Amino acid sequence: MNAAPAPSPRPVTLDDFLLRLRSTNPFTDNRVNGPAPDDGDVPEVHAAAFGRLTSLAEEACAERRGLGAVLWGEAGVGKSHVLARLARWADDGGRACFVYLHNLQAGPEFLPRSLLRAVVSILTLGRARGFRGTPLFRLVASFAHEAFDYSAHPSRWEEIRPAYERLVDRLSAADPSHAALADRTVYDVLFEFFHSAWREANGQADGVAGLAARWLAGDGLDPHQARQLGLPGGPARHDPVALRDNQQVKQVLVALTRLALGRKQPFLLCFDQVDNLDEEQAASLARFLEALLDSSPNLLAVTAGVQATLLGWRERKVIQDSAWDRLAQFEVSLQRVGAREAERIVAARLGRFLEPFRGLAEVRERLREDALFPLGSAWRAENLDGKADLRPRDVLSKAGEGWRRQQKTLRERGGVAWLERWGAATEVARPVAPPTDDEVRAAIDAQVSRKMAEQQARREAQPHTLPWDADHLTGLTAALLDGCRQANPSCGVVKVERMTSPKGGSRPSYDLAVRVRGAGGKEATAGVLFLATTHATSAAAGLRRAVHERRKCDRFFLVTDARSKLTLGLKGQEHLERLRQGAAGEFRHVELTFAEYAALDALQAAVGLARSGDLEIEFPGQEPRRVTEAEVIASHDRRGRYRAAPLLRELLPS
Amino acid sequence: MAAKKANLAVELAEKMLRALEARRDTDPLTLQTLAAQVDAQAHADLVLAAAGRKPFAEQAVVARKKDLAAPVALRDDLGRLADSPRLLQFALEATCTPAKRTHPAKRLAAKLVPELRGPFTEAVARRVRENSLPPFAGHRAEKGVVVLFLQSLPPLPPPRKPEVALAEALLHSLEERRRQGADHYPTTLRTLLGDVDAKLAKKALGQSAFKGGVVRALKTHPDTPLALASDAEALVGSPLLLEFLLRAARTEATNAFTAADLKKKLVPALRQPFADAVERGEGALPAEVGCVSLKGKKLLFFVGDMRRGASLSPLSPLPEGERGAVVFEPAFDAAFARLDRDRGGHNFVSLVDLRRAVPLPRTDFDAGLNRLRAAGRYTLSAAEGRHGLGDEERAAGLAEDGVLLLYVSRRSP
Repeated sequence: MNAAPAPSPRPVTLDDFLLRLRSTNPFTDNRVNGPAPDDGDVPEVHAAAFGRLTSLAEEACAERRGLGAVLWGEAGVGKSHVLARLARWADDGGRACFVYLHNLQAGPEFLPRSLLRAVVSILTLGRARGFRGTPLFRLVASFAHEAFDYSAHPSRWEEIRPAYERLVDRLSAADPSHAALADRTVYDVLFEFFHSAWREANGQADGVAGLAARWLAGDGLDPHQARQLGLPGGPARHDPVALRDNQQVKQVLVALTRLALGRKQPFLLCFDQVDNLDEEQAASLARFLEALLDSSPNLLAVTAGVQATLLGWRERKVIQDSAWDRLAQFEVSLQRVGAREAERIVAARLGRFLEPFRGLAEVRERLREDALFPLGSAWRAENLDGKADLRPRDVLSKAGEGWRRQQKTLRERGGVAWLERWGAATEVARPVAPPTDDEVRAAIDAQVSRKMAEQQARREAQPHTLPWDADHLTGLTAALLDGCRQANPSCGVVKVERMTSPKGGSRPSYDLAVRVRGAGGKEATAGVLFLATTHATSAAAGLRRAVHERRKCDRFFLVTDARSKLTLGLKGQEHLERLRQGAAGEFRHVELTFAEYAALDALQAAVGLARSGDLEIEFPGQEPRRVTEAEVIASHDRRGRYRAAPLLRELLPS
Repeated sequence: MAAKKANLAVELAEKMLRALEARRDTDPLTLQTLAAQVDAQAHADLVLAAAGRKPFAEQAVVARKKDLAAPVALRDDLGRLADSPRLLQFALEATCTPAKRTHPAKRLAAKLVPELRGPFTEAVARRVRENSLPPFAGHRAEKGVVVLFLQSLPPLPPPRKPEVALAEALLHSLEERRRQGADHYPTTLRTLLGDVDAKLAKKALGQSAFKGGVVRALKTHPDTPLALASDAEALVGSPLLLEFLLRAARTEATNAFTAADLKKKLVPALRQPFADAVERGEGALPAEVGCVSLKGKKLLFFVGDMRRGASLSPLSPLPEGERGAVVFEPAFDAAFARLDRDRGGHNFVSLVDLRRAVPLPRTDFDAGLNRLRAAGRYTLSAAEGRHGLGDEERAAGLAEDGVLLLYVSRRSP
């Protein structure tokens, strides 16, 4: 039986156009928060900078080198837009392997591992199974294909494995100076990942691919899990098996860049808004990138940020000369645009808005009269003509303001009258009184809420960009509690300390120590342990350390990922029971859902946007006003966002 | 309980032996791989216990006791095991460390069980003789003894003296600058050295490799322009050298010079080539340097000096705006080029420095700068960055559309 034909769409009417004009503003969203679909991109704007980045990517692949580039310019000039364009370029026909990272929160010593965890999560799409078709699967498959000189694959794994191993041997032998970089263990685990993912796709799931992905991401495995991957045990019999140190973290990333070479794809690692980082984090990231660039055979690392901040770090030696020379080997600067480019940016957004309505005679007629309809040439004369340097974000803000004026006129006159008199008496901006302090605060609150919602929605749409990462969560929670204390010294937070291993000392049992003062003035310390839950041995080891911790806390928080239930053996359950009985202090187990994790991340992301100069508010007839980091923190406090946030509400005294 | 464990070990030992017999034609496996093939869940302790049990211990040999990564083979195949690349790799990985990368075969053999040591040493010696070591291994002679190493951990080159290393690095840096183009090369000795320790720098500059590879305009001056020895011609024609000599020669009383005056400070080998280059008009004249002819000889001077004389000269009748354009643009270009070069060539110069370098009244300066912006030659960007702003920066910036513009960049295409 044939399906009924779909009803033909109703023709678009002038009323539709007017309704759309009245209800939407194509210039409202004036910044990009990450790789995104083509949203009014104008290829001619920053074309030279974009071309430079793509040619550097191709050079890294062709010359088998690691190249570092800084993409810098002032806030709002288009850095994230160029990175988003680069992501689309990479995605187009699989030109490159693209990884976008921002809002890094891990402490300096944990940054490399946190970076690796994010990269592997992105390449495996955050999956725990079903890896066939993921970027990582394709990378290893291409490497195996390279092992056969790209001739047809043999069908037997008995042939594929030796050929793969021979290729790894050749990597070492071909260039002795790089031989130490071909870490066999890493390549072996990658092969196990590939083989197991293939078996799973053919109905023979054995779980090895998931274990491999976790080990590659820097997670610890139980010894029996490690054996399944052919990995040697840890130093002691029950120790979890994990990447040894930052050197091996680097080796995994180096191997990934080499795999991409097999696919003839440049590996692009893009760090956006690095000026958000603390100086210690920036120094750590720079040192690690220097080592990574020196070792990688096919990598373009793009570091994007505000030029003045990055150069300030360089001049004050926050970033050492040798590291700077590698990560800023190529400088790609974005400058303000001229009036012609600014007009193109506006025209592109107008074009997208008008696309469904081009068939309307009234619209066509107006466009013949004025290509910038419905904004109009008068708007251009007022805002663009005679301007030498324009910031794209300002251009969009001014266009948004012009659009709102048209909406106001439209509402006042009615649709037909507005259209008939359009252009004849376009309303111009009138001087208005500056906003009051209350109005500014209300606008900041609204803008911060909007940005947080955007950030959270983006994370929820792409959960693999925010893997469960104890290092990231530790940094995030510490930064938020610090912010809370900074905004409101009477909030009760006295001290927040990230716990690290002292030289020669034992590793503390918790990641974060939070000293708070209660209502009666009594101080108490809460220890917070963020635990990965999927490997029983390391989870049990973490709990055991907490049970035997000499420096007891008043309260002990165990924070785990709600998506994967805490898996414990007998010993682990015993330790958990002792913790529940108060062995480490008053016990609380917090299971964070992904939405709660993303909400925490969004809180601090809004602070980061302000640090980078990427958060602004607008008032009719006024220039955009930048929102400072302190104002965002004050807004969080004023709106009770800290106390409402998951985990923080448990840690802050009532 | 103990008996049960013993039984499990014997059972595993039998399985491993059968598996070994079934694949004796293939390369030796590690104990761990062998165990995983027969029982993927077997605990490490159980595997090690099984390796010590009959019949496995009688009929098989594990290259190293209590080591899961050790290769294993039937005793009948001991010769094949001794000659196998896997055993060599195992011995190398067990012995080589980043601190001690090379070892003679005997020291590698010491990591193995006694019955393998002799055959292993002989097999390695044969492979060295026949040049048939596997790709992951390498060898060389050290004090007459053949030593082996992992290709992934090759021997380090002998340490070089720091001054020799620095001299080479400086030459390399000069070559790199030459590749980067005329904005970076020739350069000055001070720029080349950066913040290198003065004592070490002195030693490095005395190295024959550096002395032979470089030509310096002045023998001892710390700011002397210099270039690679093969580029003496480029050095004498460079705006950098001309500006340097002019600055060195200039006094309040005398601020115009012929090439013959300027060349006196140069090393002898460059004097005549420099004079010839100036007289022929070769090389680009720096933007802040002017040139006039006097009785067939060229007189060189700073444009800024000419401006000071302008109040007494016929230049003064020019209209105010036009005079500003004549004076401002070359002075600004020159100041920008110099400041940018001094700050590392990032095309990012603060208006604080530019206002100091081009000391015109603010209105003239701003008008001149805006002309250059309108012509698409320079662009401004906002005062931002997390290190904050000082009073001087606030004063030097240009307020425009509610934003303080502080940094100047050459407009890129």
